[in-house]
Amino acid sequence: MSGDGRGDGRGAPRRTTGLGRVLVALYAVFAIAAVSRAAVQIAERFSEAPLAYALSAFAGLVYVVATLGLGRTGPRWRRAAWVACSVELVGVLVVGTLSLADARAFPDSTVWSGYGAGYLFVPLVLPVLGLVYLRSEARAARAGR
Amino acid sequence: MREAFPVLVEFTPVSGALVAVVCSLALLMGAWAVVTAARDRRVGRAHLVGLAVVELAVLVLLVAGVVRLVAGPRPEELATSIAYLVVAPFLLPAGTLWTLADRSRPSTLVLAVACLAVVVVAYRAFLLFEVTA
Repeated sequence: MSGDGRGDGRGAPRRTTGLGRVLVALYAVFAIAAVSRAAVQIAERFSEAPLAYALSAFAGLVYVVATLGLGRTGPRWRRAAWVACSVELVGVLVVGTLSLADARAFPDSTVWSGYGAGYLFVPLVLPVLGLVYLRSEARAARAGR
Repeated sequence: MREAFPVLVEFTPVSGALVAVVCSLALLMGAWAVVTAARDRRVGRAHLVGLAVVELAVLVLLVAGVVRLVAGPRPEELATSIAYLVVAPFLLPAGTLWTLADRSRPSTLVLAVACLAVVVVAYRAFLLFEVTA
């Protein structure tokens, strides 16, 4: 995959273009999946595993912020995307480790359990891709392309 | 979960064969989108026809799912199963609209993401419908 498709020099579009769009699409899928999963879990059986389900809801929220932050342009959205992707990376690493180390604390799995193994490890890869994209975009902007 | 193959007498409108067809078509379409992006071509009418075929298969799966919910044994995770059926038909139209809205080269890859999402949703729905209460 080449990185030259980013942007097409039409001033500053309001929405992210190019490769970033693919990332936004991936994030949108995960935002919908995580939020709806959390909604079902909390509505049906919150008391069974309150920690895991609250975490699911939190993860969903982070994905929504990341989707919006990457999908829109402007410094505020970008900052939101930075924070969301960082929180996500820390979250998937911490929760992934905890879910393996202390399985009893997580009787039901979340998106981040086992480093996102239930979701083909996409939850682990996504924040890294997001941060790489944000960095390359910031660099390109600084270089005044 | 699925120790044995489903017995023929069992009522399974959401069959493995149907899900396999949906997944294969979606994978083919996704691969086509990747090739299109790699060759730096734009999404054209042929792609839309292909997407329509995949969407048709998804709709058949949706009907099968509804038939199963109405007539067959209820899946254990009822709410989740319904959610999968509801989301499934919207994936490709959303991806298509998005791709057409920004006709840049990588934008074509959004179609591949949507197709992959269809594969995952169809397969997960299949697993959910296998586990009955």
